[in-house]
Amino acid sequence: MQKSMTAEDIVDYCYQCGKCSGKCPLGHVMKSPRVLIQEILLGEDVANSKDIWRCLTCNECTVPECPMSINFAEFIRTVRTNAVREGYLNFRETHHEIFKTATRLMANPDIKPNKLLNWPEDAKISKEGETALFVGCLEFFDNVSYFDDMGTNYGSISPDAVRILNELGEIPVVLEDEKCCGHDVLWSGDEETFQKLAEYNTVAFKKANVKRIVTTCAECYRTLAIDYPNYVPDFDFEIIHLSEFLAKKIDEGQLEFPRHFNRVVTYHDPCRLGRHMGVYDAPRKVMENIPGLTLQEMKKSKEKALCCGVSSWLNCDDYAKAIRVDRLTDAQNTGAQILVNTCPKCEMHFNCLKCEKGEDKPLDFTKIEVMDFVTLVAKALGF
Amino acid sequence: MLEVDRHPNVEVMSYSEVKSVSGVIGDFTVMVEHKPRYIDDVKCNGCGNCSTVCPVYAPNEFDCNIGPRKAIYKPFAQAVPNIVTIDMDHCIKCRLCVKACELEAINFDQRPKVTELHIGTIIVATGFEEYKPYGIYGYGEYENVITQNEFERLLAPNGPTLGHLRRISDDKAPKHIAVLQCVGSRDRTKNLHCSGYCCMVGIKNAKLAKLHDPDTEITVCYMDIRAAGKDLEEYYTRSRKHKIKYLRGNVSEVAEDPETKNLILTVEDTLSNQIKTIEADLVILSAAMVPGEGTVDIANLLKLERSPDGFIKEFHSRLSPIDTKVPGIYLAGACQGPKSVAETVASAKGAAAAASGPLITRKYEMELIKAIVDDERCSSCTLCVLSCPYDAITMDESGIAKVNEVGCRGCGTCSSVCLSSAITLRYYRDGQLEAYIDALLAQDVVTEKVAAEEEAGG
Repeated sequence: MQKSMTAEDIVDYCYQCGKCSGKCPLGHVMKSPRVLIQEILLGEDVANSKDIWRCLTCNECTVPECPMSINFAEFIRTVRTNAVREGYLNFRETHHEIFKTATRLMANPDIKPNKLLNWPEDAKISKEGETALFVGCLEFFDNVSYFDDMGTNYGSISPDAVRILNELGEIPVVLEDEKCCGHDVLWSGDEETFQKLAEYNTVAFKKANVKRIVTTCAECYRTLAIDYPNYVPDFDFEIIHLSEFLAKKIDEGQLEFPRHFNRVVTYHDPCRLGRHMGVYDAPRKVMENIPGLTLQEMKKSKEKALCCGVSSWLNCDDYAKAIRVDRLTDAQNTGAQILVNTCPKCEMHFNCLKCEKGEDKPLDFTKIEVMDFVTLVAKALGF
Repeated sequence: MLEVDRHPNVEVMSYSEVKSVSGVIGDFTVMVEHKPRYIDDVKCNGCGNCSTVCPVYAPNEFDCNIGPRKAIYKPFAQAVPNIVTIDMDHCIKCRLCVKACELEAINFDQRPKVTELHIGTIIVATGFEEYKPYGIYGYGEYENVITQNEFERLLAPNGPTLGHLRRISDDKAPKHIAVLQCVGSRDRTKNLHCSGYCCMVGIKNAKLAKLHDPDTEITVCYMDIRAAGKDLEEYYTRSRKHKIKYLRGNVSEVAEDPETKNLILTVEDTLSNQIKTIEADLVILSAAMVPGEGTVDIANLLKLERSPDGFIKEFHSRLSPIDTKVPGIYLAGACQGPKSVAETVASAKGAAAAASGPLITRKYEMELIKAIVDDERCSSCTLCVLSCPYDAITMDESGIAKVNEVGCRGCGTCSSVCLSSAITLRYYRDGQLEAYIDALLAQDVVTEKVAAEEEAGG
């Protein structure tokens, strides 16, 4: 999607068939994608509409089945950017906006994130080299201890990823002062902050002579692969998700899992990795190559995978919870012990539902553990 | 079909394939391969004794693979010629049919036979196929999701259910039928063209189902009903008297109830902005009209172009839809593009008239834009012979390139590859083009043109 495309440009082929509306997880409670598109095409002002912020940007509506190949998430992103430019901020932030505030602070050139403060010594990293690992917000999630009570282990994901890369003979670059990829501010319409972050990271990776960036997070992957080249013209790195990297190494015969890891797992396709980037098979391929591991598919998987309910820290409400209940029920019904996913946000949202306390706790989801793909692979390799 | 077969001026070659076509209008040489039926077509009278004894069943292609046929079979009751064929992919060579045939018409030693034909003009009428929407709305996965063609076989008196409307999964009469329009057509990811005929087929079949059982509930999910054409809007209007429900919306999802095998449809009624869930026990997909499987081969054989939708390209889609760029080859029916029955009949009659014209008058008018060779410059390198897409250039006895002016279509490929500049194209000779360029570059013309464009806002 070209940055120069206007919202009308993205949707001008729409002939109002309504196929998207029935697929939208929130189709019953917000203006359907079709109606939003029609309003734009008729030149109405939607900047002050709540519905443009309610959209989960999960793209379940239009990928892959929209007859006119419209990318609805891109459309919403453009509409939001325009709304913010016009000064309308008609959305409800979650967590008192702490995450986006942190991102905006980070965009200040004088603030250095110092990501390697608690870095374990056995995960070998270098300062310069061809391959880099993009760490993203994981350290930050862990260091502010915001999600400790949910039993997440964000701090170990990046070191684990480095250990896996070390095992394959790669000593990746991890930048000490790498900043947030800017995904959430971009999808909240804040282009200005995003532009600063994108430019900063591009320069930092160029300085370290990096040619290829590996990501563990689905959101970082999408942002680096699609949005960075749109905003920073000289961003010319090869972007690859760790699951793709590992799948390639399995094909080349360089990665084998020596030990049995007897678990039944199911895989949740995050929207950013699946429908946005089209990566469905790589994580499955890696998991299928772990001896003893059984992969059970959920009813709704791959292109049809349901969203986790929230994106970009916007509008966490009862509807979001209902979607999560659906998703976790689907996962638990497969009989799996572990729900694997490649997006830390999905992981957080599912864990949040699992840890919910009180009388209106919807269902018991204690039987299923939510785990990041990297953690699973690291465990299978015995780290 | 029988009428055609009996016409003294028509020879029908069924179960045959065109293998090669060469020559030009008035002098085409066509090689036709007759596939072996393993039946003596003179002796066989189509009595069907052999099919009765044959122990092998195979899917019945004529019934869209719903229901069986034998390995020795007649494709359908009114087949022309009225004789049987052995399907060697399924035949187990038990020879029970040989014993049953009183006319001794069965011959397992038949081999393909090739006939050479010398003909003046050719009409291509290879028709269309229904798009097979595998993977869309559970077609191929759910038993009760079928296409319009399959539904027509279920309705047909000579079809697999002998004209009784029954579901495939449990042989029960459907109580709620959903008809889904625009499946695989008007879709940038599949076929962008509108097939045109599906709206009317959908309405017609909905009406037929209502005639079988007026209590059947029928919902037609459509995007636009395109009933353009004589009497068609009237037909659509009349169909409303049959209490057919028309819902404007493209169905989002079809899911199957594993127990009842009923189908649950999620669809937005785009006229009321409501998302509805419909339970239907039979779903019929109005699938696109696409070119038949062999269209690529026949287009390659005849050196015809194809349009982006895969159909054979006509000379001009609006002004000359029957002619092709090859003189003497004409198009009839849906091989050129989606057509209704009425349009097909019109196009067929037009093609017949166009094809007989040159044969009766023994004249063919053509444009003069053809390649011409300057004999003195030709170096006999044969590059032009190799480059000509239409095989219109040969080398004569003295080694000079010679253009067959009837076969040449003035594409100019030869003149651009000719190293000695010996071939030029009439109307496009270097001197003529240079004069064009000089005129265009003349100061006042260019400035006038730029000024005109600026004035027009471009």
